[in-house]
This record gives sequence, C-alpha cells and structure tokens, in this order.
Amino acid sequence: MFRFILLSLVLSSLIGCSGTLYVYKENLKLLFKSPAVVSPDRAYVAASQYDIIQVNIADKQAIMALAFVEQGQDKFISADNGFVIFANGRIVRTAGFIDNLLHVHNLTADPLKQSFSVLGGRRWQYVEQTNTLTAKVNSAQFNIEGQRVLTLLDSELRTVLLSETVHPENEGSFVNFYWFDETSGVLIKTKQHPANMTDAVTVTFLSRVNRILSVIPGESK
Amino acid sequence: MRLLKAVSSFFIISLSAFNSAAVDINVDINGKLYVFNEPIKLADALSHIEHPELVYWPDAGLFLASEQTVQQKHALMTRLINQLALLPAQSSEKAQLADFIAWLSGIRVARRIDLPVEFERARHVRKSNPLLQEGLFYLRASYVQPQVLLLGAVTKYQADISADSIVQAHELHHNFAADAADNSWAYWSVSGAEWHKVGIAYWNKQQVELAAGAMLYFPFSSSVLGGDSEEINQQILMLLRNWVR
Repeated sequence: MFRFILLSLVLSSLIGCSGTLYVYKENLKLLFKSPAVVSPDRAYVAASQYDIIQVNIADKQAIMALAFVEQGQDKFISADNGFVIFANGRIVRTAGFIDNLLHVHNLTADPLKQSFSVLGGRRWQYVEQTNTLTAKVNSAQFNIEGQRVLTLLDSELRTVLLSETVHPENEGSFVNFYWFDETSGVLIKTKQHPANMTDAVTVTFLSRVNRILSVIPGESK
Repeated sequence: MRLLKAVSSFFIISLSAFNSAAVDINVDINGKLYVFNEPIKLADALSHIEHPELVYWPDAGLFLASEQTVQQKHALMTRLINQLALLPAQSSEKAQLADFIAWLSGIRVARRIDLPVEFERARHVRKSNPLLQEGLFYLRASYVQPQVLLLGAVTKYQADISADSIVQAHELHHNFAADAADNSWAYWSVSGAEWHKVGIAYWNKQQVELAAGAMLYFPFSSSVLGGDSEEINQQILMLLRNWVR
C-alpha cells in the first residue's frame, strides 16, 4: 500500500510538472513503437501528428519526427532523443549521437537557400566542425541532373534531381543528391555525407510526400 | 525499512525544493543578469538567448560561480608571478609572461558544469536540462566570431579567418608564437571544455585544421616556467576550461 501511495505521489508530481511535454513525448513513443515504423506506409504517415522523415544509414533505418521549426531550421528527433537539424534541406547539425556534426560555417552563402532551378553550375565553400575531427573545408558545385521518377509510399513521383559534388580539401570527392518534387519544388528526398558520418545518410521526407500525393488526382487517400 | 527510506527521501527532496523556492536564482546570460525567484531549468534560461540560430553551440557553456575556482586562479597567478621574478630583466620572455599574467588577472572564472549545452535536447531530455538552483550561474552561448582565439605565449590575441576557410594550427604557431612559447606543442579546443595537444614542430607536426570559433593555447616553455612548466601549463589549461568568456 505504502509502495502504491509513493508511486502515485511520484507519478502525479511528474505529470503535474511536465504536462504538455509529457503528452507530447508519450505520443512520440507511440509513433516510434508502432509496428509500421519498420516499413512506413501512407496510412502510418497520414496518421502521424508530427511531420516524419525516414533516415537510412548503411543497413540501418529510423523514423524521426519533427520536434521544432525555428529560425528556418527543421529539427527532427529520433526515438533515442538524437536530433538532426536541417537548414534549406542540408543537414547542418546533429546532437545526441556518439559522433556529431557540431556546426557548418558559411551557411549564409549556401546556394540551397535559393530555388533549385537556378542552382546549375553554382559553387560555394563551407566548413564542417565535428566533435571528433578537426575542421574540414569543402568546395562544392551544383548540377541539375534532370528529371527522375521516384517511387515513394507506393506511388510514383516526378522529381528533378540536383547533385552537389563536394571536394573536401586534401581528400577525394563525394556527391550529395537532392530530389525536388517537379510540380511544387519541395525537397522530398536527399542523400548527404555530413562529416560526422562514415556512410551516406539518405533522408526521405515522408510527410511532405504524403501531402504532395494528397493533392494529386487519383493519389489522394 | 527501504520503503521508509524512500518515502523520507521523497519528502526531503520536496522540502528542499520548497525551501529553494524562496531563494533568488541569478543567471548571467551572455552578460545580462536575470534574477528568478525560484529554481529554473536550463531550457528556460536558454529561452532568453537572442537569435539562437546564430549561436556557435559547440562552445556554449554553463558555469557556476565558485570561490574555489577563483582561489585556483589566484594561486596560479602567484606561481606565475614568482616565476616572473626569476627571469632576466628586460627579456622579451619576461615581458610576454607579464602580459599573460595581466590578461589572466582580468578574466572571469567559474566552475564549468560538465554538460554540453544543447539548445534542442535541453527541451527534450531530462539529463540535458538540469535545474539551476542556488548560486550565480553564467550561461554563455555567443555568436561565432570570424577569428581563432590565440592564448598563452602569443604575439597576437586572435587570427582573423573567414567563414569559408580553415587554418592549420602549426601555421598559427609559426606566425603568432612569442619567444616565450614552447616550440614543440600547442593545445587546441573548439568547446573550451576539452583541450587537445597538437605537435607543431618539424619532427612531430600534425595536421590540425581550425575554423572560426576555435581556440589555440601556446604553452610557455621550460626556459620561462622552469622544471615545472608541464604542470603549470596544465594548470593554465584547467583554468581556461573554467574561463567564462
């Protein structure tokens, strides 16, 4: 009985303290624990209260939920409280993982701030700072690769593929990819190589895809 | 019995929380003092940061005013002043050490709380969001400056650097190390909390690229600090860790 009273006291104080945040975190837990998280379909995406993305790194996959949209940055949280932060579709910071991207310098000059349609041939230079490596300077050039059809959430979407060939100083090169919905110009998928990752990160913006499909005749559900 | 202990601890925690509610909590946020009449969470303090998107979060830090840390600074300064007296008058090394002592006397130190200040996780993760209660706290989360800070035996206190470039640690040493500097090693940091040793001589040179916002400490050589130079330089680094910028 004493044990029950103690537990009630502790629980009631916890709920009283956190309130809305508690409900929010419980909803996130439900979202991340759903069986559909392994292979998210449109029903799962549409039912989510939060914008979600699918993140693939090597053979691992995770769903992340939009926690904050602040000062032009979209901040997604994982089931284990890791954060991936995007600015104009670029991963600009991570937090809560073992290796993190701490900062990207020179973002004010990031060509991704502009419409993808004008980015062909554009060059820029940026510096990445991680918690494990010294700073890394990258020179990059964009190229519009043309139209591509992507199959996402069991539907085909016409996209325009933008590539960004990156040359880190004193190293080889790699290519980041950005797929934009051809009609709306919205970024729906990207593959990037942030400095804190040894493998490329592929991100699919599932909720954006669902919204785009919702307005296509015959695709709305 | 265990249950009784648990119940009593719960009430003790509650009671201490009640008592602390009557205490003013002072939080100096980027140089502006905020006074709260009850303990606040770090996330609440962070909500007072202006333009968080411009903050250089890697070197954000939380500190607690500490007499012990201040005493450590005074003890270190005394030790350096004693060493200064041993150096030949009119020597450049003596002037450089004197400059550093003067600089050290002007900096504020407090005990760094061993916790990364993370703007997003503080609002989501309990362990990233400590309760600030009793005392004077310093929260530092400043914008990135287009420079690398140079500390210790230096001829200049910062090296300008653009946002899209990096600079090698050994180049900075070559250009800005004073006569009093050790010629083999330097220490670099991004956060201020952790300092990493880097070889900068021809025989141990390491490629360490620094971007804007980084810090580089040039240790004083043994000809300046004597046989205990290694230990004294480590004490300086410990103090830099607790430097409230």
